[in-house]
Amino acid sequence: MTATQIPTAVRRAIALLSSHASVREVSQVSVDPKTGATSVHVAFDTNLPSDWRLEDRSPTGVRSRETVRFNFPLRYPWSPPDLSLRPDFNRDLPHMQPWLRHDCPVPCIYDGHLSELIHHQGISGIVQQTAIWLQKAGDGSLIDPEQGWEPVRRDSFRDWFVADAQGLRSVMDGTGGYQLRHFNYVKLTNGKVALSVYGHVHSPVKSLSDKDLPNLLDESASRNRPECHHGRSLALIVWPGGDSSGCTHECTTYAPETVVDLATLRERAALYGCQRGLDEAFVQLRQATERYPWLATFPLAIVLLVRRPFHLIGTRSNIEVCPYLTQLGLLSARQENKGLVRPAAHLHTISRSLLAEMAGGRKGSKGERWSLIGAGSLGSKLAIHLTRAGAGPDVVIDKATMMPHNAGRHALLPDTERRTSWMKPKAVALCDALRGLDQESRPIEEDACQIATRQTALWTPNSWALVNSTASLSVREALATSPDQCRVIETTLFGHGRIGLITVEGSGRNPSTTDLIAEFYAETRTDSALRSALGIGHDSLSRQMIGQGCSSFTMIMSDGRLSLFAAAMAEYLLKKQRDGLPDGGEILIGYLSDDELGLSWHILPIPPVAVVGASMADEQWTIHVHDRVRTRIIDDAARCAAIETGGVLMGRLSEATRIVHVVDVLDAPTDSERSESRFILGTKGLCRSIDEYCDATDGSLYCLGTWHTHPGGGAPSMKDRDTASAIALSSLRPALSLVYAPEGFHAYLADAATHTSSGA
Amino acid sequence: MNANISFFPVGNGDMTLVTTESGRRILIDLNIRSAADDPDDATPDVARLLGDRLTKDSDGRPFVDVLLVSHPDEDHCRGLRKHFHLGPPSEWSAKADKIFVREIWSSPRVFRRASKNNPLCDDAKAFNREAKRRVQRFRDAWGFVDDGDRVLILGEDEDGKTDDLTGILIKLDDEFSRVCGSTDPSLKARLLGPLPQDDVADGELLSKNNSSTILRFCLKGGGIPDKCRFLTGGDAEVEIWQRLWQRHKYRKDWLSYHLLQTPHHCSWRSLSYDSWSEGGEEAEVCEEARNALAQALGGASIVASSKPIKDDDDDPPCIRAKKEYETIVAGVNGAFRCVGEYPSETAPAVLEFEVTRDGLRVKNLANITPSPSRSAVGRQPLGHG
Repeated sequence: MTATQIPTAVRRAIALLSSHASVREVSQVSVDPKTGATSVHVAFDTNLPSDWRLEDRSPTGVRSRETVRFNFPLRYPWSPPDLSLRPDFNRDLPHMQPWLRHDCPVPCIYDGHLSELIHHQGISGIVQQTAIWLQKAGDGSLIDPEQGWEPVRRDSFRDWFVADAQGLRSVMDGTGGYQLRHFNYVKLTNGKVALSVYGHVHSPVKSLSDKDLPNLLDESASRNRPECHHGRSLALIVWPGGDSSGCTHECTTYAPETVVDLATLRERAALYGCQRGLDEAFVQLRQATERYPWLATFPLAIVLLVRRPFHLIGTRSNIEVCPYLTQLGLLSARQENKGLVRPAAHLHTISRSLLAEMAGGRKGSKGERWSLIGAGSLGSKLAIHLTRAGAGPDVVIDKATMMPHNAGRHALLPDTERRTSWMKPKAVALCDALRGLDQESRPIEEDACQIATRQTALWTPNSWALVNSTASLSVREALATSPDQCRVIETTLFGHGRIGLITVEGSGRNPSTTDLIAEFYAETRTDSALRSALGIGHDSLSRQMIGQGCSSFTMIMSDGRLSLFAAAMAEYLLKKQRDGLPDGGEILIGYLSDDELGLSWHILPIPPVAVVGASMADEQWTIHVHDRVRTRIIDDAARCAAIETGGVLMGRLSEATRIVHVVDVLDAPTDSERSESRFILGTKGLCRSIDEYCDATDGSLYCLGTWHTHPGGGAPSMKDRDTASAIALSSLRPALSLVYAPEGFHAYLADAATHTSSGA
Repeated sequence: MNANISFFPVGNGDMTLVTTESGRRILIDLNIRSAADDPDDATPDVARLLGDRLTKDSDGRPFVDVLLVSHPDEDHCRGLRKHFHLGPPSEWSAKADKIFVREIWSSPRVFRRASKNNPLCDDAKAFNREAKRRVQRFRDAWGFVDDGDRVLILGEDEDGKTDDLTGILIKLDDEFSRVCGSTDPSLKARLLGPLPQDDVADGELLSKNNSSTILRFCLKGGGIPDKCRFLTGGDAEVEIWQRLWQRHKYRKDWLSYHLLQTPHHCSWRSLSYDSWSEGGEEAEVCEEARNALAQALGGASIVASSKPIKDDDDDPPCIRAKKEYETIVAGVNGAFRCVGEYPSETAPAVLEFEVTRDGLRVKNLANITPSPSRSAVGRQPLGHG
């Protein structure tokens, strides 16, 4: 072959190969006329230390100069070159591919696909990884403690077992032993021979007497595919005990798979410290099965658990799972260890721990217990994000039923054949889906308001949080007065998905969920971007027609935009589950970027409120004096010392919860009069100030009454009460007179008909 | 920490940092060219490369434990005044942030004045002054000196100028482990040169090259003694190596090495009395000198601290000398490397060896990353889908 037949890209690659510091020579360049592939022999300096260079051989059999064949396919650089080593290269090393290429071993040089590496770093990356691999092979350090222990190399599989590795590992103790488990499988056969078995390892078998055995095992052929059998059988889990020195057996030897029959399985079990457990289990199984010769062809899954010196690659556990397949009948003494055994592959089952690990959760973290109120579009997405991180809710509360229009944004998907199954209670449908992710959630189809106001709540005691994703005003109010001590986190979207809100109650539920929403309203007054996004003055909720004569009160936005916020909110919940909730309250406001592609979040810490009791006729009310107000009043009082001073209170109140949220104060008008005996609120510009404030918050915060100080102490005077009643009469809602005295706050709440007072 | 030996890419010159397993840093020669300080010049910025390998002491001073200038030629001491603190330790300035030298190892030649026969560059003069300041400090303080004032004199002065310096004198052929006033258990060094005046043939004042300090270090690797023997001899020429062979041929072990820094930047003049440019392939090797430089141990490496070696009449570096060294290492399955060609002529980097429990090897040979600009596809980040 002439050089002109070598593709240009390959010639370029050869030039780069030659330039690497580890490459001594590039030779034997040839093009296969049939395939068009170019083969190149690349001699690497394996950088052996001087002690080994003289003998030209490392203890692992690597020479100071190793030739690697690079076979560039015609599709190069779309496809990477195939690499192969000399035919007699030591295959007992880790990180060796389980196949040969032209009878030559193939190194596994990269933790990923070479086809990605070639596009990530080019041919230089492949040369570098090869050089590193060869040096480590020479050192015997291909297993890198940082990266993890390389699982036993197995050259081919016909059988696959799905098992919860963490569940299996949890049965291990220091003394060694075995456990039998249920094993459900699908078997493909060719007459009597099992070609392939795919099975799930399930829960432990409670007892295995010879009487029980026939009930534990059965098998039937598929109606349409006679070569396919479904069945139930047994899985044997064996783990190592201590060694002769009394220490827990740890296998530090890497050896590729050699098991082909029971004899080699026993050898392998001895290497792993599992021999005693395996022998004892075989005796029990043999005794149980010998009365039932017809059980002989049932598959027996065997899993040896091997303790390694450090964690396995890609896991945090140092326990390697080594599965095998044989048949129950082959255990009989007559087989004299000749019964065939096939190495099998292990697949992780979907488990909470696997999902938690995939999401970067801490080892052994079981996740916090929490409840979700609202299984609508936002709630379902939060639940699924968290469940996929192994942190699904304990309880899902929603009274509604799925409707066709919910398919527009709900996380669940309708069934293609039987769409009637879509019309399920939302809580039930969501919990069914979460169960598929190995997490059990209890659906409650009830009005959350009803649950919240009961003396005994339905959700789990000591829950980490209640997440309210209903965006329901009534649920929020109900939660604010719930006797439960569990902190509420509310997630809501506003302004057609231009604003997202997360509020987090403080410890002791102070500030509460309604305190926080009042704070959010106060924020709209000063944040023009927020006010504009909220479309204050325009109602962002609209009634959407969902059928003939039916409509739903909802917010129009795309599923993508809702998911944008849902993903961020779920991340926040996950982070707080891992790191803990803040001591105080917290508001997070998420703003959709101008290009409508991204979000930015502002975090506002909210200190606790001062709570003052008040009664009005036969009703008990509480006044929540927010920190902004408390600080301002105390500062003003200190500034005026012995002189009475005061101002106007802004905020909101709820007749349902009987809470008055005093969120802000307005300065007293300039014509106000201050003296040692009284404070008279002026009127100059007052109405205008109040109206401007109300308008800026779209009426969510309004005038609640007045405050003033009593430097000499004492509750509201008769004059104060009359003033409050007059304000109440004029506004047709309760009016507050808040007095700050050296001993603390006093509150008087009045409406047109009643006159009551209290102190704190 | 593994001991390591770093050869800096300084063209035809020497600059070698030995770091012992105990963490002592011994800098042998320096050649920090002004072009290296120019960010627009392609000359490797060896001052930065050296700085990257140093730590700071409790006073915030970057430091070397030892500075040895093998002989006072410019390509072995260039950049001294600019990058190293000279003078009393109290005068070190944070603003200048120069490298603090705890101890100087010097040949007794510093007691010779600059003259017609002994011309010295400014950096060499500054080194002599600093060495003499420290000697005087030793005398004044009755031997009680601290870091920054320490000095060891490697070899006796024939005019008796070192007679009263026994406390800081290392005699020819002595082996020592003393660094900054204490014993470093991970290091042994034997002083093989400079040879005394009467040992050389012409009886004249030794040329600067031939007055080079010659040391053979034994370093621990992976906690095991003597895993690396490193022979370094400045610019010593053929007659010195011939004399060394004559002195030590019955104890060749003293000359044995796992790592040899070729004398005088791979010069033919260290192996032969004949001129390469005039004699070419006819030029004869001095067998005795070659023997002195051929005591390579299994898997040994020979390093030429020079610019890239071309097949031409240049000397140093000389292609014929390279071939001779390649023949020497071929017998022990070793390797010859040129600093100016590592990993490539266009982008030379620090050639760094590490001493492991299994001996010496190039550090990070496999990890050398080619410049992205040289790769056909460059690099791009990996995403997740």
